[in-house]
Amino acid sequence: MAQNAFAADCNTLPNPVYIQTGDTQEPLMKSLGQSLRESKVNPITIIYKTSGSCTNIDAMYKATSLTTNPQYIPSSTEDPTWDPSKPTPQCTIDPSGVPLDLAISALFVSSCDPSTPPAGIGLFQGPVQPYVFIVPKASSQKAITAEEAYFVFGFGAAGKIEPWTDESSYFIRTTTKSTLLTMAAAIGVPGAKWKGVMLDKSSEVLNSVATSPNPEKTIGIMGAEIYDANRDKVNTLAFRAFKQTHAYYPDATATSFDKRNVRDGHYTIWSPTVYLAPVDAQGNLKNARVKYIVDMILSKTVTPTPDFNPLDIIISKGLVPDCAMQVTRSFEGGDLSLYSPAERCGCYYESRVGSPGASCTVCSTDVECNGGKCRFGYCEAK
Amino acid sequence: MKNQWIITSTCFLAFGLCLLACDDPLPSNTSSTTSSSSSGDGGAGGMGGQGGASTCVNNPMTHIEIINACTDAEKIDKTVTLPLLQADGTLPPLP
Repeated sequence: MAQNAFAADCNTLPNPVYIQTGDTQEPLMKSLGQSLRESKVNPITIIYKTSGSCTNIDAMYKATSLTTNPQYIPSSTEDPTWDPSKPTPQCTIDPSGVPLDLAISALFVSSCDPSTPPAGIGLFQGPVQPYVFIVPKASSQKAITAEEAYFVFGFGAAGKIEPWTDESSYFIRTTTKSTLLTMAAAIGVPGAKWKGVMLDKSSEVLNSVATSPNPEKTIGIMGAEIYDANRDKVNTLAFRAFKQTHAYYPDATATSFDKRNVRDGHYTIWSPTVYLAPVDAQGNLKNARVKYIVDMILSKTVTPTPDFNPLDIIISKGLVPDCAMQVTRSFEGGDLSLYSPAERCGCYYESRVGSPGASCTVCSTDVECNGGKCRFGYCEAK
Repeated sequence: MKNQWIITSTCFLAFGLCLLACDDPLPSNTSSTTSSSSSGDGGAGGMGGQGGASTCVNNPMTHIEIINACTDAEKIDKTVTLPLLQADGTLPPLP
């Protein structure tokens, strides 16, 4: 069935929230959007357009209206066969344009625009987004160091780093994309100086790498959640940062999905996602539906209580919620420092991506936690 | 006697597995305090670790200690060849 068979005027969709987001966050938009659309307590329709993070930030800062037809999450009535693995249908936008309710960046906003945000625009730091180097299944490569990546992407063939000496086999993103800019900060090569074939979509990078006729010489970059969903098509490389003694995967092993090395600092290529939206003079989000969405993504208590688990959706999309992080940084590629979230969820996170650590204790009330807090069914220190 | 043999064998097995899976812990107060190379605007970043000593840090505090903290996570060691590396071991400026 054609995905546009249910095309509708966007303004006829119930309780809409217009979002412009990086394509690394599209899996989250789809899954969270499906739950929101089907919610019995607070149904919301996510209507979204994907674009580069820097473009999204600029659109929110300059109040640029949405004028091209966006995607939307259909209800089960509109399309009983739709699920988040499928493309989303388009709706027809009002030709005069519709203001954006929410913009999503998958990297530090300062990486795109170091200026102070305009008055009336709030920035809210969300889950962490890891990024990875990928190679074809047929490649024998297992790891790349920051120094190698500096020469590969900064010098191209002239960098003489074997086997990556063919610039036409480097599949990268354009300079407004969080994937490129986060990688750029990690290896010390500014986005504008990268060598390789710049592609607009993660799906194009995936396809180009997976089907490369020169697998050993091929390398690409993408968000970890895209890789996680396509591990049957490409491999990821372990990464060794500057001053690091070993290379590590984002996960504890090449085959796990636990993002343990992102959480504890052994894997350094990541950025926080940032949610940008209009706020009042007190810094509170103006749009109640936007506040509902942003608060649930930030693992805050929302009213009404959703009839699904937002944290599970975030975790299932390869993102690491702030409450599960053990390290932090304050700017793109910046040094890591130890981090203790105000309300931890590390044990619950581990339970969803593998098994909880030996120190994690199941609980139902705070009393069972020896002074700690019972969160999501596990004792946390706070 | 049989139980004692089992306990002894288990201890040796555990020790052996640790040798395979764990780094040699390095007290954090003996770790490097050199700051990591920054991601400046195309300038020659400091030369990163070329593999470095096979040590790890317990109770990490600084960036370098955090990225080199002891872990049983899978690690990949790679010997790299960097033909354009400068004589002093630093990265050359980007073209």
